[in-house]
Amino acid sequence: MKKTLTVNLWGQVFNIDEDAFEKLQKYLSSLENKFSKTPEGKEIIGDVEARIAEIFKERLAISRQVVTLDDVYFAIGIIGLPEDFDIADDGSKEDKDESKKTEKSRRLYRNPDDRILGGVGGGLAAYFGIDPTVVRLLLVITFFFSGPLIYIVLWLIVPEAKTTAQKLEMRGEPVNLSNIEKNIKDEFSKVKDNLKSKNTKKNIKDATHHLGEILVSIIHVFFHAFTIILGFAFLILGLVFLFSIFVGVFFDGASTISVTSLFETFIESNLLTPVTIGLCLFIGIPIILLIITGIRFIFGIHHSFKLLRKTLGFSFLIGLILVIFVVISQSLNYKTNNQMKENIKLDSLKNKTLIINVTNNLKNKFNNNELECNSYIFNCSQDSCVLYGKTQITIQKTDDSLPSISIVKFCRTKSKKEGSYFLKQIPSTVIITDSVVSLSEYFTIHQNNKFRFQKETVTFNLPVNTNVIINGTEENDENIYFEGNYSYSEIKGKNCVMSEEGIVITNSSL
Amino acid sequence: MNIENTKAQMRKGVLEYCILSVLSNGDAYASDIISKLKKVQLIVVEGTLYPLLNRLKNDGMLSYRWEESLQGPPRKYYKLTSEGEKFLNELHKVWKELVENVAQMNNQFNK
Repeated sequence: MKKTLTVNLWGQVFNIDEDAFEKLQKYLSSLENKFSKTPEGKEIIGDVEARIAEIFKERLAISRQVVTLDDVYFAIGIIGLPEDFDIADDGSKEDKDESKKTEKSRRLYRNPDDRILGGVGGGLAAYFGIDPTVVRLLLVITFFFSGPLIYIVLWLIVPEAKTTAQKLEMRGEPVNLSNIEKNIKDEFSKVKDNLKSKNTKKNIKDATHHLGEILVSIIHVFFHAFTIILGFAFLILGLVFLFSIFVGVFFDGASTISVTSLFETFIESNLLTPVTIGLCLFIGIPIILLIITGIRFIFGIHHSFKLLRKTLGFSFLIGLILVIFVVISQSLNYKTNNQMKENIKLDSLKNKTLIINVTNNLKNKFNNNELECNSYIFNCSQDSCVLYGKTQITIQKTDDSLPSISIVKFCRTKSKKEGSYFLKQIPSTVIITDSVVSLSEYFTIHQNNKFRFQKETVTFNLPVNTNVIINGTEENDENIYFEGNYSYSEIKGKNCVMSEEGIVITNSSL
Repeated sequence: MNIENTKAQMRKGVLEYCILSVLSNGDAYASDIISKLKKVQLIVVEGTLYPLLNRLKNDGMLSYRWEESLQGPPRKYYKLTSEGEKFLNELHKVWKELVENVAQMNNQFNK
């Protein structure tokens, strides 16, 4: 059993054995190599093709349907090998003798098979029989002299070795059928294209076209260099991202803020797995793509990795869906507002001076392992991270006869029921002993309690003429509010009194 | 000195003349011309002929027309142009002189 191909020879359709096809193809390409130099070459080849078709028709008419290798040999026997054609050419015998003598002589062509820009380097290398890298190195060395100019001039004037025969000449190998055969292999269609374009081009057009080609090539090389640089940038960026995520997730302790603790604080336990997978896909896949793109740019890989791209795209979509799902279900946990208000009358104060002591209750205040956002602070020690809320302290004037403290706790939850639970979990920070009210700057949102926008405000309602001293830390600037024209740092630790215009410093303290 | 080479050179010289001569007897397509030339052992392979016909055509000696064939692709039928006829007449004269002169010379030496 043999595989056959269908070919169109001069408008005639033939079924042809595969081996016969290859032989025929080689034969025709060798003819094309011979005649492509002459303008009428195409017509001659057309004549030959027509004749071959005729011979095949005659032979097939007997009994067979498929053109075999024998038929091809028969046709070649009748028509003759390209060398045998020479008898009809002008002075061809002399030429042939001469070419035999000068078999080793080479011609300078630009080498299209070994090129970076115009193939001048490859051509020169083939001409002198040296490694093209040496030529290129020379060009680089002479870059600041006249190397590039010589290169461009050579590019313009040296023809490109388009046909196999020219390529053989370039390397100084004799142009004969066996060599051509050796070189052609399956270049049939390529040669045919060359032949076509060569015949249709006009000379002037050719020259401008050539110049254009040079410009395009130069741009191409710059573009190529640019893509390589871009590729490296992508690769490095991708690897840095990947590395930092790897460190962040798997070596939690290495970063100042524990990512795991952050997640545990802000996201429900049952959503932790989906959000982890989702985020890994959502962030990881673009990074992987970045790295792959980088590698493709650097090595000039044009393969499109369809399956890989589909898989990555699909995974990315899954990640996106997971993240959206988590965001939606998480945000449902914040739909109900809850508030709890507690009023404490300061009966014991009488005419004594009220002393407000604000203390900083953070364990690791100065180790910098904290993340602050609005009135929340994420404070990390070596083994755990705890979220704190900032207590908001307000001192205001009241028309009541007695001073009082009102403590308001707030949170947002899924339901009222959940709300009351979370409200209870907000610790009371106010301790009243006689005329001294101690309160902490921060309240703990315990690690086992999820984040629910917990807020705590402590409001001092003071009648006019109440004496007060506020003791606090430097940072209380942000969370202590009071009526009056003074700033916190001005009144801190000083004897003050509540007046009609708010807090004022009493003279006795001066 | 290669005898085959010399023979080929001689044949080549008269090949154009013979092609024109064949066509002067009537229009013909490539295979006709070839079979005639093969009979007189002027060419060995057909391939030789195609570039030659092409050149003669380009020089205005020949013209061709397409003719349908019962079997196979359409054929190119070559025809001698008036210019080709003039050229052929010239060649006839040259050939005659050549043959006569060579014969004469050979006879002289043989005597």
